[in-house]
Amino acid sequence: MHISEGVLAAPVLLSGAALTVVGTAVGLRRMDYDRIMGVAILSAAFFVASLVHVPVGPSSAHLILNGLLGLVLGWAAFPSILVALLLQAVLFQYGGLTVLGLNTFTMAAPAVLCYYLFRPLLRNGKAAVGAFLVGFCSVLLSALFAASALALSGEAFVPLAAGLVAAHIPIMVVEGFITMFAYSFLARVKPEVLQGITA
Amino acid sequence: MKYLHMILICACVSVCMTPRAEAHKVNIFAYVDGDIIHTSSGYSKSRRVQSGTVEVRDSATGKVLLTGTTDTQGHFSFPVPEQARSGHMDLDLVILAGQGHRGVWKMPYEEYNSSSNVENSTGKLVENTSADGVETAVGSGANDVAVSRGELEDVIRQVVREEVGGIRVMIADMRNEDPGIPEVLAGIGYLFGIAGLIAWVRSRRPRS
Repeated sequence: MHISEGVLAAPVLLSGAALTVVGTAVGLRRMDYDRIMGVAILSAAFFVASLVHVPVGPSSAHLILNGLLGLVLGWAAFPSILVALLLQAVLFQYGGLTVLGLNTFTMAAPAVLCYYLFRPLLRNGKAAVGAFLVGFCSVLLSALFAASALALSGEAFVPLAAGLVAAHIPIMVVEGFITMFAYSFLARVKPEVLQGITA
Repeated sequence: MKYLHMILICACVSVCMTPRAEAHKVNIFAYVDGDIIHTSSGYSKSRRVQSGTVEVRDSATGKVLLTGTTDTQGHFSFPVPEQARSGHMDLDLVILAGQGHRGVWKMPYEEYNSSSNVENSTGKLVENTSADGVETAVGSGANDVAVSRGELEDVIRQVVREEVGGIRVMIADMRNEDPGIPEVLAGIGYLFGIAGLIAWVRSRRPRS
């Protein structure tokens, strides 16, 4: 899901960066600074998740965990993912600095979108289904956003989107379950972490 | 509970049936062997880029000199383009692995030119030696074999090529190493450091 440097057209990169700046500004404004260490823990989870490989037939794919960040942090997922991706670009050479803004947007925007989309489900007693859908759909939308960015830079959208979505099906399913179990665990042992959802 | 079992079965099936896995970065490694440039592209040591596009570009202008496709092992080889040699071009070898994955290997003019010079000068040597009819005796006794100097150099070059092949693979693999524990710990340290710094700055502000 990390788009490399030198692939996207300049207008797409600039648009992605601008949207990320807006998202990060909103995230920083809405962030509860008394729970800053919680944001750091989730950011660290996102940072390390790309190293956790899920066996897929003869090969493997890695986790993303953007849905979990969106579920717990809401808009604060933007700055959280931005910093984690920056460190991945610098330390792991994943993605790159020029494409950092767009990569942040493709992973953070679906997280925030799913947070608002499925919040009614989470509040109405269907928490397990809601949490699963947040994890599942965040990865699905990220794949579609990445395909759109590549399509805007001149590639054909349909085969790209089909390839990206197909490649991420196991990740969607696995992350759906991870998000579901993480949500139910947090709801039982530390419900105040989820106060943004339940309020 | 019945539904949970069904969901888990569906999950397992979808995981097993997925056509390919995504990756986070792609690497390309290239070296010159005489007049041929060999490239090897992969996501990791074991996962090679199959049917990826390799573009050979002029570093200065970005002009594409030639393109090719990697085989199942991620390899693609091509002769040094004459246009690049005559124009003294530094080359960018770009691997396009699809879905936004791209890697670059830079090959300066001196690298491919010096390698082919060695090949050319040796070629002249072979011709001269053959013309002069100079031969060198190798071994001793009943199994003496007479070979020309050029032939001997060809044999040595072939042996060295085979021996160095392993080192080339090793260098290519080193470029495909996943991040290690130091990078992971550094990243986590930075994240908690930044959060700690923000918390400390805010704690010093008087609360209204």
